[in-house]
Amino acid sequence: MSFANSHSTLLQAGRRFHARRRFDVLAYVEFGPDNGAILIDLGEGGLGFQSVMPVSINQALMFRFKLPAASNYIEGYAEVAWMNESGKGGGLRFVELSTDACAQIRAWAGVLSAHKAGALQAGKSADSDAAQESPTEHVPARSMQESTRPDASNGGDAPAQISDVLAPAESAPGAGLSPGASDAPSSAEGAGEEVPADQALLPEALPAPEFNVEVTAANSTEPLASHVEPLPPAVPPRAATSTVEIGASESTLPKDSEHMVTDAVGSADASERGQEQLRFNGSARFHAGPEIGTAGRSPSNRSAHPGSGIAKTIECSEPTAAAPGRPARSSRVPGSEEGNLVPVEKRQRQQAPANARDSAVRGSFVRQPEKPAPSTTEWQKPVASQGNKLKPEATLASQALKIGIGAAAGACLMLTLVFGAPSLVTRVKGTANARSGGSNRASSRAFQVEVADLNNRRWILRSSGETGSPFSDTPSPRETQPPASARSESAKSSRSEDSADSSRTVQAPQPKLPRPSELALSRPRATQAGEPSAVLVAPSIFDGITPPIGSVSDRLATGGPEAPRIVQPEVQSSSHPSALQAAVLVQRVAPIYPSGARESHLQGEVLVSATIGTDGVPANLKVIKGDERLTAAALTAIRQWRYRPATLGGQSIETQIVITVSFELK
Amino acid sequence: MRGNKLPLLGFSLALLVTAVILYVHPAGRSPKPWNSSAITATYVGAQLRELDSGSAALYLAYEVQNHTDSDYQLADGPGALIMSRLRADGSLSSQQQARLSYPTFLPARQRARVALEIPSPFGWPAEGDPAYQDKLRDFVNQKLVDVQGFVLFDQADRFDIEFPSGWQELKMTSAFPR
Repeated sequence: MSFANSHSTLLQAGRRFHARRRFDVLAYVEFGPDNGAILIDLGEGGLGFQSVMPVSINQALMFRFKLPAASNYIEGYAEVAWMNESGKGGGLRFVELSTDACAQIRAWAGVLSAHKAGALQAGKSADSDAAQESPTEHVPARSMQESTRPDASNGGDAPAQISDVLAPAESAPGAGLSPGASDAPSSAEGAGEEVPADQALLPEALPAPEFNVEVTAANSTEPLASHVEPLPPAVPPRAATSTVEIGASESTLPKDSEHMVTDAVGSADASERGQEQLRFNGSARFHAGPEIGTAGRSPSNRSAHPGSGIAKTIECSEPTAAAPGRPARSSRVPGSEEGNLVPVEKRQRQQAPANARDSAVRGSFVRQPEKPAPSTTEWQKPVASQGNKLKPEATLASQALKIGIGAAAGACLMLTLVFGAPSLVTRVKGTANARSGGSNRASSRAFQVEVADLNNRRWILRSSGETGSPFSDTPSPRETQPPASARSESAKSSRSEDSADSSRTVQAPQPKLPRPSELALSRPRATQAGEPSAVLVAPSIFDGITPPIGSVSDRLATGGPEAPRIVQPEVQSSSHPSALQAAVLVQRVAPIYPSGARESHLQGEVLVSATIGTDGVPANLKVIKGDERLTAAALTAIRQWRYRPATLGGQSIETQIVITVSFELK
Repeated sequence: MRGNKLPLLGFSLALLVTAVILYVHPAGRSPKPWNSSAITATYVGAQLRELDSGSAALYLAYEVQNHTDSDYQLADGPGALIMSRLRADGSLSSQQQARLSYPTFLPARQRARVALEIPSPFGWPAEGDPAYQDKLRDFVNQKLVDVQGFVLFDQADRFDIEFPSGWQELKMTSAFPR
């Protein structure tokens, strides 16, 4: 037999309240839809597992599993009590479990929680007396487990040694056991065994766990036959190691343990069984409390197993689940497939108050107020009022809150950008416009207008810059000085070459038109104080800005209702033969309004660049602008036009002009 | 996902959702506002030109500046409307028939000069007319005395180009009698 796991499980068991039983078949437990585990062991207080996905300490879990050969699920809520380094193995502590599930687990485990025995402590003295009378050997439960080790050489000293070994585990601060349970004294004194020194010093009044294991051979001597619990017939042998956790301890019973016990009890073959036979010779009874009943107790509590080779009885303090036909205090695993392990009724202590027992029983299964049993078919959501189960929902709520805060901030920013930016742009625009207007105002102190006539003579007509707009209504000096005749005379003379009287308001142009070299000037000549407000300007800042003089007249369309009209100003003779004379249209042909354009009500202008040769024929016609449906008609008409060529100093020259033909529907 | 990334996730989602809503929803697609800063104009000068014996035109020259990174075609047409801004209250008026003298191509970040043309019937005074200058003054005053400036509205690009006047600071209370 092997007890390789016994020591570790014993140490771990120091944290547990309830006995656990190890699964000998593969069983699964579901941790919700996303995780699951293999059940290692199970008790009414929790279970051990090896999960697929890691879990964390104190994590709230919903679980569901089926016991072997059970049809319905056991489900509830639990929290992770401990876990190994990988995070996939550990133990669950049941937080919410239905009463039925508790009973089912309890029945399956076949053991009692150790701390319940504290409630039954009151009757231990009576049992102790009975134990002294009984020849049955009493050993603590843990001592029993350890005593099955192969290296237990001598039976008399083994309990004391094991008790020493177990002392740290029992006194672990996190054990959570009742003082009676953790300090369970040995009951070996009842059987005449050597009592460990440390346990012998314990006061008898200390509460002790009341877990009793009674191993009885059916064909043993007389005292045993009277209280052997009958076993169900044809119980299949266990195929794997079964673990029974008892209070703060856990014992592993190898698969052949029962055979060992059977042999020890039945055949008493010392040569084959070694040391175990010394321990289990005859009827053996193990219990962790000094008051455990021994052989020879009331036969009403026990019955013989006729035809059965061995009966192992585990006394259980749980008063419920009594088998039919048995006393109400008896507890038996119904239909137990665990073979020879059969729980029997716990002998009730008459001295123990009923409420104390009830509380002990209740406390062993449900630490929280009883609630309706959860549905066995559906997973239920954790109740919000339960602290540990709030963790997932609280986390979700926190995450949702964070997302909501971020979303609100984003929406506000977006809306601000969308609806606030236009007003901001408007304000910036207004500021920019104000600056622009300021600069314009600064640069236009005095308003002046360049005057150009058809002869391309240009003047500056300026205001004083102080009163009128664009020109002041203040009487100009010219109006006060020369008479009209004189001004007319002066005007005439100003158009002549030799007029240069500074007293005239409108100063005539320079007697000589600017020579070509003078066209390089880019600014009007500065006027001096006292000079007339009109001066000759050459060249103009409008050179290159406004169309040439010769083409301007072509741009005005004052024609009839449909046909485009070309208005040609009257040709004026120049009084300056040497001046540059622009080409003048002398023969025009009205363009024909295209029918397609007329039907589609197309209007517009066609700008055509042309070179007027010395013969007055427009050539090099190039369309600058205009709709394609109008340009052909315009070009056809322009080709038929004739000009008086431009002259410079009386000589005909080629000039470049831009002709604008307007098509308007009236 | 860590908790500190959740607000950022929500922020991004909200931006995305809001942008989609504003893009898809008709209310989010409000008419594009007029852009006054893309193209600006600066007054250069004025010219009164005799077209014929019965008409004249007042040219207002401006230097326009393209502040955008895109080329711009400044042309007169159905999508371009030039209105005058009245001095009295700054309202717009189409009474003055102003137009661009010629189309202008305005490259990105470049400047160019353009001319607004205000043609009008005008009996150009004869050279010997003693009121030669006054008549010219009257004509210019008639055209500009009530005008604070001109605005070109490019309805396609939603640009409005302010053409300021060069006579803005002059006192109009004593305007020349018309």
